[in-house]
Amino acid sequence: MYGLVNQAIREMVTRDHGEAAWQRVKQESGVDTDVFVANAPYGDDVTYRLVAGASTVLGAPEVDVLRAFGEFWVLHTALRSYGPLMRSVGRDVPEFLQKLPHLHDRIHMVFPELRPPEFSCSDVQGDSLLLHYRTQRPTGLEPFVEGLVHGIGRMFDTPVTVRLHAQRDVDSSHSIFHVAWGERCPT
Amino acid sequence: MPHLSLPPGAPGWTPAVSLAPDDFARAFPFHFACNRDLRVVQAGQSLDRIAPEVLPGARLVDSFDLARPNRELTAAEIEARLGSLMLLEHRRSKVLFRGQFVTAQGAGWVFLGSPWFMTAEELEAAGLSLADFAAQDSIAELLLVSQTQQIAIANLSQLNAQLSLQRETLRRTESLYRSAIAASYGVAYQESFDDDTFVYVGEDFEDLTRFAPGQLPPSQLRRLERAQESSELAGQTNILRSGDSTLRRRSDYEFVRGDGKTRWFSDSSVLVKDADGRPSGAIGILFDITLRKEGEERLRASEEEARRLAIVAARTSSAVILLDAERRAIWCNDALSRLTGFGKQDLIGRMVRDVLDIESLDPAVAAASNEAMRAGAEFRADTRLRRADGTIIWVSAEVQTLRDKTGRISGFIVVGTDINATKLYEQRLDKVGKELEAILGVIPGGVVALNEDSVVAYSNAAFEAMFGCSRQELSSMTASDLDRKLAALCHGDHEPAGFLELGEGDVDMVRIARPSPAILARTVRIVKDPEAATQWRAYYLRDVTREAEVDRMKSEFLSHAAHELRTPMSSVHGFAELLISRDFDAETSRTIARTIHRQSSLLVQMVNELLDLARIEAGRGLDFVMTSERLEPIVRDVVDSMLVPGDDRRAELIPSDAERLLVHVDSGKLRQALTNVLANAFKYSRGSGSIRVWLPQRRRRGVTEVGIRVSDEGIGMTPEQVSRIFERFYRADPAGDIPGTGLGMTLVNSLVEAMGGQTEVTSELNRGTTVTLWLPVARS
Repeated sequence: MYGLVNQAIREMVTRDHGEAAWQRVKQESGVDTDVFVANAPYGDDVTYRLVAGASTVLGAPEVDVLRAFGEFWVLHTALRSYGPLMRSVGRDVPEFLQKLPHLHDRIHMVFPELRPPEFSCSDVQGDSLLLHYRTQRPTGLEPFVEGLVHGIGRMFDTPVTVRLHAQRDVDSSHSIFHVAWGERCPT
Repeated sequence: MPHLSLPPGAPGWTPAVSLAPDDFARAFPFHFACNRDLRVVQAGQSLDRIAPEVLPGARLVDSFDLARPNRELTAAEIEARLGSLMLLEHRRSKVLFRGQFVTAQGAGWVFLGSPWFMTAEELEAAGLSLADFAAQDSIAELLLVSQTQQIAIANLSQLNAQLSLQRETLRRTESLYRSAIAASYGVAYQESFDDDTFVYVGEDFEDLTRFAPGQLPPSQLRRLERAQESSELAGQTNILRSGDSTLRRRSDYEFVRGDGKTRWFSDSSVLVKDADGRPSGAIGILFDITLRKEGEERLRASEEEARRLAIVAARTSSAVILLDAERRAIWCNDALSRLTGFGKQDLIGRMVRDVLDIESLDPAVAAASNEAMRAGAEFRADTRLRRADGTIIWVSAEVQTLRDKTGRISGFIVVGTDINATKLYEQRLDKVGKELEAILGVIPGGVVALNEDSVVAYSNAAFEAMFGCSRQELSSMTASDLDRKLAALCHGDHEPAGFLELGEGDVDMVRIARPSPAILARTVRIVKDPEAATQWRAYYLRDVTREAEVDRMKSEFLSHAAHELRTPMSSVHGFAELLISRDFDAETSRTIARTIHRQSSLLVQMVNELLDLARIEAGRGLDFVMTSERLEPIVRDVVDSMLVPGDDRRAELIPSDAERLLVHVDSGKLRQALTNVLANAFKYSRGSGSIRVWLPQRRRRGVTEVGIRVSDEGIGMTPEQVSRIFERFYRADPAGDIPGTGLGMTLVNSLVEAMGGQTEVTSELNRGTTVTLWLPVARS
């Protein structure tokens, strides 16, 4: 993962719980890096350890930490760092989700170390679609994807629901999310 | 198959690929085509979003300028740069279009290009999105890279700012540490293991060690004399060299400075590693702890001394108690508990004098000690205290004041010694002394004691009176002084022995003339102190003057009695012998018998009077039967019964007012005395002259006395005879013509004195004598 990701975890922890909590997360995770260089590559284990450390220090399950991080990534990191680009991807939730693969393709070209997942959409309805999530990483970051989609919904000020439709290695070769949006979408 | 080796437009070239218009539009969404008049013929859909005025028929030059190359946009220019990169600037939006002109089929050209943006903001400001671009257009990647670069730059700035902050923090911390080290009088150093040199030393290094850093390798700094400490420090150094960064090398050691003086150093250091993590040296700090070591030694010595003193205080038989400045007990030894019966828990934290009730038992001592302790003065006194069981004992207490460094009173040490037995002994001794003093004061003899230095240690009142000196005067006198004093008191011809010449058993008779003549019998008792090899001498001087006089009088009396008794006895014996040895006629025999009878009667009278006198002197009148009587009947009875053979005279009793007065007398003894007086009056008036008797009265020493006065007109006596009239066997008739024993007036005087009276005699030679028996009037 690039340093941008780890830096985003730091920002999420310090924003809600302060610098002292972040130091405890670092201590808990055994990560002793003061500043993560945004476009420098770091091992995935660093990110995983930070998430685990945050889970321990904050007393929250890892899935909740990943979900919150996914949302934070969209609303803070991505928008702050690549806001205009993000906004140019799509004008609403369904367009953004359908154009998301193109963005990730280009991200892959610029950040090869990032190994961004592959997204694709199918069964696009007026208020729902299936979002296909493919990743090369051994452990899935499905909760992170859920958080991402929630973040995208909040970015467009649109209520969304995300439900794991199919679990990788259990139900399917990849994870599939059912995403619904709109006024009548239960939050 | 197309000949791709032929350039397009070359003879024989035929296109292998052609695009449908929609595909062409999707592939080049920002294209436009123009004719040779540079009028727009066609425009892409995305171009419309940014340059809506570019419509078919519009003049190209109205919308675009040639930005690169910087020329006028003309047909010739276009023709000349076909296939080359050209930049067109949209006049209105100022957006650059990057692309190339290609020849269009038919007349004109087609511009294949797309807007050029450096940032996503520019894209957004232009009202475009990535969706407006062809999929193969790399604008998205370009913008991603650009944005990432900006993030990286921002990241670097942030890092740089953090680095600056950390550098500043480090600088301040280093400055702080340096200041702290400088303030602590320590000298920081950094040594290198590799070449045994000091990489850094504080500025006071040379002052501390008296060596320049280059003259003193680190290994020499810690070269110790004592092998044990040296090996320990070497061991620590080896551990550091091995890379153990957990160890702090720490040692205190003696160092011989460059000037030869020895100081104590405290050396503390930790490991330093190089950039590769290899142990390269140590960084530490040196302190000169010589003063501390000296202080520690003094403290250790003080503590050892205090420990020894504590042992002594704990084990001493004297009671020791420590008080704080407020005089509350903070420590006491076991001896105090034994002395007072109070446990330590009863005393610690309390005012001891309250616990021991000293204030009420000895308020004066308590007040004096209070004052002394307030002033911080030493104080010593004997006082009483009440033990836990209620008994009262004497202790000797000594108070020492403790002061702190500022001189303020910080506490007191009180040491107490049980002197109860001593005090009781002293009290008994004092009582005995007083008793002895009283006894010695009332005994009539003089007592003087000389101590081992032959100085007067004691004298009683009788001795002081004898010598006419006060006790104070005598207390400084030596034996020699007493000898001189005694000699001065004696008669000129009498030289008494020296005081120190007398031995035990000796009785030395000293005749003194002053202050009044006396004979003193001087004896000595010697008290020896075998341990001190000294001796005391106690002298007793008994006034034996009266005894000597009595002895003399006894001797004289015996001599007189024998003489007086011998005379009639010789006469009786002689005449009796005469009668036995010879025959006489009856007349002569009667004459001789009468003489014998007369002399023997005289003997009987003499013996009777002697016996009377003896009884009176022995009984002192205690066997008298005293009753209150009127004198007149007794006197008249004696006067009327007084018949002297051969003398017709009768004594005349003259009335007086005193006849009604009562006297307390033994009437029989009074009659005997008056009879003797009357007999003398008759006897010494030789049958002539009157004999009168009356009862005068007088007042003497506040007492009314009545007298029986007998007056004659006889031969009288001289004053010298009057003065001896009461002596035994003294007779005023020197010729002895008038019979008598010489005991009559002695007996009269004894009888009257035994009844509390007085015999008074006045006489005039050849004119007569008056004898008055004065008797005190009886109390009613």
